[in-house]
Amino acid sequence: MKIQLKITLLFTLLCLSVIVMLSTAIYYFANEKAFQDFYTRLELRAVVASKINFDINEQSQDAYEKLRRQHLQRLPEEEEYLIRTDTLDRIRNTVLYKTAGKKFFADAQKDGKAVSRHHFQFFAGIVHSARQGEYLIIVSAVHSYAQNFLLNLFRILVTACIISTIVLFSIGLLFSRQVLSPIRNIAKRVTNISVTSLHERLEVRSGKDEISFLATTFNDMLSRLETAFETQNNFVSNASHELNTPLTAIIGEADLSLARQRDPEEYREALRIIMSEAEKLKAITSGLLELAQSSFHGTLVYEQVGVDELVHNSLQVVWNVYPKCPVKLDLSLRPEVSRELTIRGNAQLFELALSNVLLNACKYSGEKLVAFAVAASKTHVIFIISDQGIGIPSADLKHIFDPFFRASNVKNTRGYGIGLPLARNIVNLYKGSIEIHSKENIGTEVIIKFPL
Amino acid sequence: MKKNILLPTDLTVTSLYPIHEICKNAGGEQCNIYIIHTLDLPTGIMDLLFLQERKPYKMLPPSFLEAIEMLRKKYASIIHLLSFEFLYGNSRAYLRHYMQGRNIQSVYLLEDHVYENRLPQSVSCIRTLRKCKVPIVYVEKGRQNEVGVLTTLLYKEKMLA
Repeated sequence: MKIQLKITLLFTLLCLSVIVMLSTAIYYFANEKAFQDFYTRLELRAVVASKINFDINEQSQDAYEKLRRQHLQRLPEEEEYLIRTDTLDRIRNTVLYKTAGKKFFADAQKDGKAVSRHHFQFFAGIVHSARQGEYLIIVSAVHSYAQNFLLNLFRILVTACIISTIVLFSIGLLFSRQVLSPIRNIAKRVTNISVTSLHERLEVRSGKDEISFLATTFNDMLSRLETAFETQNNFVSNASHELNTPLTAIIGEADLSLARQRDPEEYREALRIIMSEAEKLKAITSGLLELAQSSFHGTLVYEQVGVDELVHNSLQVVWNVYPKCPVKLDLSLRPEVSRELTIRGNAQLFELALSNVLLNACKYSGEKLVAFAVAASKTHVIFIISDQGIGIPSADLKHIFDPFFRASNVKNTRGYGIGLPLARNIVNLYKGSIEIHSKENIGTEVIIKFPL
Repeated sequence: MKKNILLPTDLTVTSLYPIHEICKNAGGEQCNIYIIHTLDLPTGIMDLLFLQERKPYKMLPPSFLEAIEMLRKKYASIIHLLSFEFLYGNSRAYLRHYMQGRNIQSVYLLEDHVYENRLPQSVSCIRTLRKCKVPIVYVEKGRQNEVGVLTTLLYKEKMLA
């Protein structure tokens, strides 16, 4: 059963049970208490009957008889009984005794008067002491007004219950649909998110209600999935991108050495270069492997990384790839205590992230200056990479971190669209942040922050 | 003796650039830098009654606060005090009184910079400050950059060499 139907039924059942209980109470109390005045009327008639039958004065008997005829309306099925109290035992088997009830006669003898009711037949009796002896005068009548009234009340209550059931069910249905609509929306949006659109996020409403929490939880999960997915997807491409440079150097060096016969010293030099390039290769591979593994298992290496050393190494990587790149270490904001400044994480991954951004800056800024500044706030170490290159068109800015995405103005430059996503992945892994401000043909500023 | 410097800002990172110059001109002495931004003093009784003094501080751009922190770290040994506060009112008497109270020796301003009113209640104090009898030091802007947020805080290119 759908939750929506469940909620509706539960809501209807709850409300209906309250309504039924209320209706029953109304009917019960109307039946029990609403006709007390009828007993008074019957008692009055019993008194009149006693006067007519037992009054000493015959004239007043006639007067009472006249009064009854002229002013007392005859009630439906009105009956009058005069029974001597000492002969009560004889009427035990009569219809009157059975309908009025044993308690009625007992009360009458004990208190001098009694009332009782059998369905809609009402009884009132008074004990009158006359010369002939003690008499019980009983007047009985059918209360037809009460009969009609209760029948109508019953019909009204039943109809009201049926109508309220329908109304409650409809309201319940609308209400539950309203309540569950955000969940349905989330389900709809999540269904639309496939492997190719993992970057999409659910809309989070303001406030701290359960639905916002659910949406945020989904978004967090999507972020984790996206990171893992991208890392996995790009691993081969990343690896080839990163490994290309040292491999080219190794092949070039080997090729050059084998071109002709050389001195042992030259061979040794070539081997040393090959060795150092191979070591670089190994470092990158292990870094990439760690990136891939860390995203999946959540086991990150945390070590103290000196910021100065990191900056130096990143610049070295850039100068190795683009020896002519006018990248300058900008000391404008370098903290006085930068030597002691460290961040926690993996040095190779940090280096990879920074050098990727720097390489992009060099690649797209021609001969113009690229500034690489380090700063520190209370909580973060901030790297600012600012160039005056071709910039990023504003329409492309939001896609800049998508894997394999290349801005529309870089078609003539070689690249794979991997550097920035990789840098972003690394920054995210170590709970940092990366911001890009750019204008086409004016320049780009990248701000990378890592927590201290 | 510590130098006391007043630095009016328009809450942009760019307007903090004179701090470089202030520290350079400190000549080894420590200095107290009072960064200010002037707001219009409410005149209505209701506005004054319900004036929330902390409210404008919540509207400060995060990059501006971060830039102050960066500069504090950069000049840790020179800067003795680097404080930011909103001043209510831009009358000459009030500003002069404020500066006298803090024994301000000079005011630093950016050359060719248009100090904008960033907050709805912002009001410029530059013109009034120029009329106050206090030495004003004009500082050339740093790196000209139309895109960056923090780049404007970097030295000019010629200083990098």
